[in-house]
Amino acid sequence: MQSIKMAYARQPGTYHLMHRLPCQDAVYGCTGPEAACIALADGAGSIPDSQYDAESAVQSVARELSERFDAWFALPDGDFAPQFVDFARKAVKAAYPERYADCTLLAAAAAPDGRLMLCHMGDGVIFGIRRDGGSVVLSAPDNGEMPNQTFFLSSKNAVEHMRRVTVPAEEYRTVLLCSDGAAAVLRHADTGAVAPAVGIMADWLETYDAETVSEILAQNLDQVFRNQTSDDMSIAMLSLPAMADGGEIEANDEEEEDDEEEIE
Amino acid sequence: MGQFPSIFLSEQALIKNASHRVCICLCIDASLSMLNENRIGKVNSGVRKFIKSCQDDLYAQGAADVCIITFGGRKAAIVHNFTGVREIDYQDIIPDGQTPMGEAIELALDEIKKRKALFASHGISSFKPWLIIMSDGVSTDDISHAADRLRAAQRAKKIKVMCIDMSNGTEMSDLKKLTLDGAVSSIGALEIEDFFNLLSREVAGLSNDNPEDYS
Repeated sequence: MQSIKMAYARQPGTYHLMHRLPCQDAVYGCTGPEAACIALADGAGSIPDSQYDAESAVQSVARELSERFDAWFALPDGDFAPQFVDFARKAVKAAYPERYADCTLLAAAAAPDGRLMLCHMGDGVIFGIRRDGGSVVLSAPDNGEMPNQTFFLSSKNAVEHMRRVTVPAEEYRTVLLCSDGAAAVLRHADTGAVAPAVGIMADWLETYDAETVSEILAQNLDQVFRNQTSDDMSIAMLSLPAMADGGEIEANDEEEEDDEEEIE
Repeated sequence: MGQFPSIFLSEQALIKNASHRVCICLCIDASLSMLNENRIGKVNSGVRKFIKSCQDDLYAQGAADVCIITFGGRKAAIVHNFTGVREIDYQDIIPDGQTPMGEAIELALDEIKKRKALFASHGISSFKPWLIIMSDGVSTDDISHAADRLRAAQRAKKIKVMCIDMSNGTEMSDLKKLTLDGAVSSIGALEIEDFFNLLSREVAGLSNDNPEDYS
């Protein structure tokens, strides 16, 4: 029986390292009775301590979608966005009463029967690696008017900018989420072309176990991606076996990895 | 803990995206009064440090396009055309004569417009341009048309304007006409270098999310 695998990693960007600031990207993955889910969030750079918003958002959203996938999937489009934004904001507030969910959010949840649901607020990119070859953008960054500005769960018009995409899982072998820092080298900003690296990373998840792939991702973010971008970087992947066979779930059981560099 | 294989992506597997650019136009008073308290000396020193900081920053070195316009003597003058901050070879401003601020602002707006058009023609993304006006005196030409243009650009959210008064608050009347809310920052000679230090940090910070309210 094939396995659903989840692998994820994050690294602080050079800018944050130089200024002794924490990584504001967060990633998480978990399995539940109704789905497997990965989530990724990028805290607002101008808001101090927004990494707490990102961390609480990914954990609460991934757990919620993995436990109550059916209810969220069944919601009509007009009801999904306000309820999901409200859920995420309250979840962050419950964890940190002084926080306002100043972060983006990307999530992908896969149910055993082949339903795949993507949620996206803000920038970053969700890629789908097709079973018949090639990689596509399933959800593009939402930057508003300016290239380095975006929308957050805390934004006044967050509901208008919360996107839900449902795609047939049988067409895709892997879904990959990334923050804008990693997206800077995975997707051409003007043409939308997808880097070959996306398919290569999906291949890793088919070849190695989830823990190994998470480590390889972390090393690549640190030693390869960092040469091209100064922003925080994060990637999360979910492999999708042929759903007709059903899927056992092999995943990282740990909480999100803490790959922050120690600043001496 | 087991050994993990060392597997790295090649550079060819990644995309190289051009940095999003930002146009920064410094419009600097070069009238004789700038010799008072060695204001012009501080400005020259501050601009040099600003340029150096941008050149040393991973993000700013590829993002910042800088133009320097002076208003002194009888005419405004472009002393450095818009160019990437890496290519700037800054020459000290030498003050002389009067304060044709209106002409300088019109010139700055024209140059910013041309630069943005150039970016657009090459498919280069850019941030809202910055216009920084520094003066210690009242304009000696008519600034009304320039002020109207500048305020219209701000209302249309096409430009970010910072007005810096160096007269210790005594000669702010014209600068106040240039912003929508009359906001002018007053700084003394000792604080000029601090201002440029902060400016370079703002440019470097553009690499991060910088949410501005969307209504």
